[in-house]
Amino acid sequence: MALSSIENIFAQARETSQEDIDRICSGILENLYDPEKSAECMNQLRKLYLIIHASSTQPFLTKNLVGTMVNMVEAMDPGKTKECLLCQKILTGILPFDEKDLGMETEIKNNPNEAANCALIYLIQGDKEKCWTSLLPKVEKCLSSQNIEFDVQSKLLSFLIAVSLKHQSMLQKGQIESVNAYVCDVLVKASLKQAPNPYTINPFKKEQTMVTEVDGTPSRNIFTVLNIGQYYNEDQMMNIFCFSTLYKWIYNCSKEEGRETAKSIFHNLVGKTIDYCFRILDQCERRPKMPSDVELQNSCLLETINLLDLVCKIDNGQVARVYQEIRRQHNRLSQDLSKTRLMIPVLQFFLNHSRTVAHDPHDVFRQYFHKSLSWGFTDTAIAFDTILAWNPRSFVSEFCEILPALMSPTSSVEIFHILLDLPCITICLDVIEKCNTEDVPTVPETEPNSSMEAYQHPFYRPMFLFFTRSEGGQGDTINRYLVKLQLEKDKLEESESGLAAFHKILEDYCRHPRVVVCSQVVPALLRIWFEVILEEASTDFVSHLLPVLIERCGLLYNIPEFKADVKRLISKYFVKLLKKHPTILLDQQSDILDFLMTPANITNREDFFANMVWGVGEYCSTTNDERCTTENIRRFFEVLEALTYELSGMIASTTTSSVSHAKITCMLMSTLAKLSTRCQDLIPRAILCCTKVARQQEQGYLDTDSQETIINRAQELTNILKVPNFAATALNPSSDIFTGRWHQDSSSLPTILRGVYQIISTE
Amino acid sequence: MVHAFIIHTLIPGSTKLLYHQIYTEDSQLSRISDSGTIGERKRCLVECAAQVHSEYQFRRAVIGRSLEDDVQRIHSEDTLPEFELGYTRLEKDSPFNTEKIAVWLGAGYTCFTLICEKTENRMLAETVLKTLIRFLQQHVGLLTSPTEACTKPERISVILDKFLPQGNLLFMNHRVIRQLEKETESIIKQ
Repeated sequence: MALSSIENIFAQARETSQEDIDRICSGILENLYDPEKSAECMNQLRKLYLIIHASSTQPFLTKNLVGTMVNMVEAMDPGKTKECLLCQKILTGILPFDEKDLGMETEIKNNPNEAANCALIYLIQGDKEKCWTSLLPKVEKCLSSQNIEFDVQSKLLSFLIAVSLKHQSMLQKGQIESVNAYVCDVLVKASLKQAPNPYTINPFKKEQTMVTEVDGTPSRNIFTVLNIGQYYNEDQMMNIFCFSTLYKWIYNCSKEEGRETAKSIFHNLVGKTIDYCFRILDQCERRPKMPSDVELQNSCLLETINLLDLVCKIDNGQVARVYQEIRRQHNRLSQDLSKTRLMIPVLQFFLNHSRTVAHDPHDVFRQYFHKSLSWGFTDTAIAFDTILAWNPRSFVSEFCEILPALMSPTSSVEIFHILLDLPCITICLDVIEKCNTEDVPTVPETEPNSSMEAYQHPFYRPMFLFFTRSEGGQGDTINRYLVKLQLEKDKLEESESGLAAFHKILEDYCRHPRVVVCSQVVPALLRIWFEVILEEASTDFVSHLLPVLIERCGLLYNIPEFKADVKRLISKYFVKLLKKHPTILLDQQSDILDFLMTPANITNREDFFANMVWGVGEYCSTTNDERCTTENIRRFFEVLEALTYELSGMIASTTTSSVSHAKITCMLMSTLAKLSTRCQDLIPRAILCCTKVARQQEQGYLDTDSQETIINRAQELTNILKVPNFAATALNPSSDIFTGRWHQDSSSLPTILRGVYQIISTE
Repeated sequence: MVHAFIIHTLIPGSTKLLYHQIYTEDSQLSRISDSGTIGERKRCLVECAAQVHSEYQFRRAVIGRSLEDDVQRIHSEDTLPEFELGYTRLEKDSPFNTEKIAVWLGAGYTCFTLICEKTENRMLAETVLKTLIRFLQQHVGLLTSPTEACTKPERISVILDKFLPQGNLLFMNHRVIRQLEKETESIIKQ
């Protein structure tokens, strides 16, 4: 089956001419009531359906045909159910019409059957003809009158619920109360006798048997959806229908009301709902004879807990007795791993109501999030409410929303690591999952070649366990954490390279789709993380973060796009953070100096390194931090000076040095110049350095562009530095530079310079 | 009640709506485009289907299975194949004006999706969806030949009318299902 064959069918239907459509329509009108031609008519209806389904515009149908189809739906003739339903399908495909076009606003509503059959059409047409206001009281009255078929009752109730979803205000208090009374009746008064078999005619009227429980024992209590009978009566079917729609009815009608009003409107229904729910909870403890009913039991349980939660919100006087029952359920459910999914509504209930009964559910939450989730993350249904690493595609937006809420000063650094290592976490989960199912042979002696083998390897095993840990520790740089790990395990010989080695081992997974998607998710989340940090974090925190940034910028899982994205983000946000918290430069001086001292650190971290150099020059100044003494400036200066010479020498001596090295050299010179203006003893050394670099590069192997840039920059800086007072102003512009004032104000430095330049040049 | 039930393809390429039935008003749509309410309604349903479709293709890729392998599994057994189950959150305004959750089951060529309100019982939605698929396969054969959705639409309507009446998810035990099954059969045989 190719996509093209489906496309062909649709294209063919779409291209039907209006003439052909007219012919089909008149055929339908002709044959619809002719018993001889029912097959032909059905074919025509199908054709018309397909044309409407395939086209995106509305084909023209005569008013006559539409009217006839509406009549068909109204009548819902038992001998023509298929035709009637197909007419309904066609109508719902072309509605809504403009007002008055449907011609159904007048007479039909007095017949409850017709109104019920048309309910779906009313809904999809919407209240364009403003007939709902007069329709609703009639529907409500029909519902509470006796002797109406199940089919009609269910359609009418369903209509009211649909109205309550979007137009709750259209329902009056009295109408809601009357429906409530009806629902109460249906919930508790359904008969306990089975219906006779409708497909046999039995002349000897047998004694009717009772319905049973799911385990086969005779039922003695009220009828519920979990009672089993050979056949069901109409009142029993209505009972099933009412319970199935109960939550929506109460929820929709109570959501806009104040608590007191809701409590008074729903007073009776709340009581009956609790009775019914308690009965279901009892029935859920029975073992079903039919395995297929287990699923039903579970979904009933879920519904029941949600319902109880809802009615307790409406009437908190009920919390005490319900709470006790829910706790009993919790104890029962927590014994059974297959019922993990049902724990979520239970937890929600505890969360909503624990205050009312002064019970601390903390233990319950801990148990759930630690044990159950780690067991069940592969189950789609359970994971829907939680995990990102396994299902990156489904949960990106959810995590974007909850991420800021998860962040606190103690957890942020850890979250940062987790984000960067998300691809690795994915791999670990996948490997552990596979190893649990396919027994992989243990190879402890040789160096592992693949991730699967690595998991079995004693050296790497702790890493897997560490990555999939359930409780976060205090954040630290990851290698320092590994040092601690080493003390515990005594197996990691060289912890410094631990993570890097681990990344290497996991490399065979870097094209795995789950991992790739996960790695694409990281930058987005990281951006949010940085935004939050930028917004809220204290200087102290950012100061602790700096070494982590330095470290992790060079320590990332090897997916090229992922690495590039993450590095770009780290570099970008580093500058922003520095601007907001310039004092971290001195707080972390030793780490920064360590980092800047080694030219090897430039490799793979070019942007970050360049930004760091720039940052030192820009923000290491007494205007930002009083601790910027001559001594501190000198310390930075000396390290950078040495680095400049080294780097310049490197560029000059090799043919293969990159553009980024040239860029960093330029930045280094600027930074040296800036620093020297803040400590004027250093100016001669800065000039010397720039001159030397310029001279060295003239004979170097750099491409002309880079060469020219470096030499020009060196020249400019030397010239500026020769006038120390001027250099101090030019190289340390006040923060006004960002306000735009300098371009407008006639007393600003650039304006004055321009003026002076003009005077000089005209002379 | 659910907002809509849709059947769509899982064949690589863009997904095609094979059948759709909406149960609530179009005031759910976040905007009305030039193509009018009906055009916009279809566009929104296709957008949901496309999100489900792409998630399914992702899972196929993760397991390393092709469409052919997938279809093979359907043909080789008489019983229903194992379905991929998924929940896809449809955020507010994309495409509906309130948040919705698509509960879907897919296998081979075809995916069956219920577009639910946030308050819907998803566990029940899953069970009902399985029941629907069982009878849709029995009477229409959608899993093996998806185009049957275009040629036997009335059968789909009958099945939906019984097992998803007016879009309501019902708690049906095995006897209720049996009773509705008999009613469905007698209507289809008419």
